[in-house]
Amino acid sequence: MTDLIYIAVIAVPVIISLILLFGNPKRKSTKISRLVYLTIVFIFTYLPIIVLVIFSFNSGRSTGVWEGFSFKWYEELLNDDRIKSALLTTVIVALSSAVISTVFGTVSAIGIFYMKKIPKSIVMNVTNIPILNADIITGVSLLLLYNILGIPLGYASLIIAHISFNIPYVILSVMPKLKQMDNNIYEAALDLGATPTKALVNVIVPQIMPGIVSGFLLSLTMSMDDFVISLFTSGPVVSTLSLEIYSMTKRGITPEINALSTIIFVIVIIVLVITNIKDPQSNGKKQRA
Amino acid sequence: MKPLPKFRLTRTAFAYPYLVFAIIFLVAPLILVIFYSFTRQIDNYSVYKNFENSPEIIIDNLDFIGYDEDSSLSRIGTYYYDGEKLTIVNYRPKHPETYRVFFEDGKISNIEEYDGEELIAQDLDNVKFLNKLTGFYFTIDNFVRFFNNGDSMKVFLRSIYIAFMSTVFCLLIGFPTAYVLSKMKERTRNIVSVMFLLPMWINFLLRTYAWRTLVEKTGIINTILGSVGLPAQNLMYTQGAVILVMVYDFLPFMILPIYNTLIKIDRSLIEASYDLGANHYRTLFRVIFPLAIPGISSGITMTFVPAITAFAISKIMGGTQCATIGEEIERVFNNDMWFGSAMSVIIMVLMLASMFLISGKDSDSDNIGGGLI
Repeated sequence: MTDLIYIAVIAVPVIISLILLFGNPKRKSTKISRLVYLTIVFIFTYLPIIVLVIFSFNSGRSTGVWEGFSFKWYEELLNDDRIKSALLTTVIVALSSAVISTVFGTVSAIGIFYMKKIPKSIVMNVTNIPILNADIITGVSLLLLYNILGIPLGYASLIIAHISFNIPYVILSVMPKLKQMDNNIYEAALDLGATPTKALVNVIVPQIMPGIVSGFLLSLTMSMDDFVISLFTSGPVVSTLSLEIYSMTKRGITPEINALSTIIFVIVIIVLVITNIKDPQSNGKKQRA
Repeated sequence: MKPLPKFRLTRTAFAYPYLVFAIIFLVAPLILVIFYSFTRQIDNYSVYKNFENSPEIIIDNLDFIGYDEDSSLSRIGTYYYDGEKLTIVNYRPKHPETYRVFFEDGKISNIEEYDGEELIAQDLDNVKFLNKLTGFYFTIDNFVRFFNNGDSMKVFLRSIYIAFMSTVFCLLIGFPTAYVLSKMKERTRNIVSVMFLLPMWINFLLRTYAWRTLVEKTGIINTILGSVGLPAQNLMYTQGAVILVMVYDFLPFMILPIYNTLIKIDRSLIEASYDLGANHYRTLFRVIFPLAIPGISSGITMTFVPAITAFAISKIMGGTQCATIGEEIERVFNNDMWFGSAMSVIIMVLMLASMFLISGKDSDSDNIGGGLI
């Protein structure tokens, strides 16, 4: 019964707006309905986040009942060692795995690019595995591997797991840039006397740089946001922010964590605004990250 | 040109470390999961020890698997008593709360279940404490157990239903959004599409938890309903709540690929359709929609696959009544890797089947996941 209510609540406005907004764009009703539709989707997208931000300023312990304005939870955040260490772990794991997988992935992408067609397509299909596979299966299967190999769960296992699901993203963002690259420039560099290594560093790498950067940002995001794979591969001692939040959902969340995510959100907005003002060209890549 | 052929070889060699890495960390784990799903552990018992008479023994550390009414497998295993291992080699359910346990020396005992946390075994004398030697044997028991059991099948079908509904709603909301976005001026749509992605920078568990404060019995939605004079709705811990949050969480994955294909559609095709007399709806269904199919199918894959295995969302929003298959895997895996692996394999097969169905037509391997990246 409740399902039917949800279906009605969502379906009726959707159907009405569908009819209106796919109409003639010059008609006023179309324009208005498009605006209304987008606004509704925006409200849907931002409603929980607004709630999250508002309750980070709550003076009470609840994340749902408003008791008054205060910065109390921001102060608590500064004194909470658990969250601070979880944040530190997240940053360490995300940065190290992103850097390693960017370097490793870029080098591998160059190698794969020059492979013959059939081995290349096999390797690319293998590379797609972690992207297509469900997180939980990746996590479970890595746990089995660690069991067999006798790798203890901790920082090392966590970082290896993150590298293994980050590398494909790096390879897949570098690969198109390699395809777009003009191979004649590289050959010209060799003709002009550059050693292959020098040509690689000075000619190929600068051309695929946008791909490398977007691969790095993508893996940074992926590893910051990952929860399921970390759950299986981190072991009992190491805890990332996601895992900390997950254990909090069982104990009860305090607005402290709202405060932390508000800060992170504001930082992300500032970074995005700055990069968009500085370099509108790279906007396209940011979107994908 | 002379050094070129030589260097081509070395350039391919750049990929060799990755090949080794991929075989160990991408391929081997999957093979392991499949291997585990077709095997079970053998327990061999070697060391025997007498145990003093005791009217009541509490066996701790016993985890329940839950699907074992008919299977004699799941409660077999090693449990701990006073730091010593106690091995149950066989049992038959007597009635739902009591299990009759057969120990290796032929002793029989009734074991009662308390709170699902511990077992109390009665009349255990001369129980053998055993050391376990491990091995494995090939079997399809894990799969048989999964498909024979009503509970696990119910969870399985529920996950498919929830994932399917989430995907449908994501598509219904996502396609028009992507369409409207793609019709905007380039500058505006770049900014707006970034705004749709911003929430993804907040941890998804927090976003899910924020929905909880909205939907709860004493939550914001019910407060608003109450102030208007409507009765409070019991929205929390329902399938609807789980679907709502899944739609919320996966919507960007649906919007983006569709948006990316829509903005690449050649405008002259659409204009040709108008010139030939088609109205806007006809153009939408006959021109734009077919051209957007690759984006739609990659959007469906990117929503359906995570939705079917998502387990934190159903745990936070659905409580125990809406457990999904991902949750079951996580719960089972610590006690019974073999059964957990079998469940993972079933999901993998389901995912492959759905991907094959969705993107069977355009199997351009360069495009897999390419919608997003």
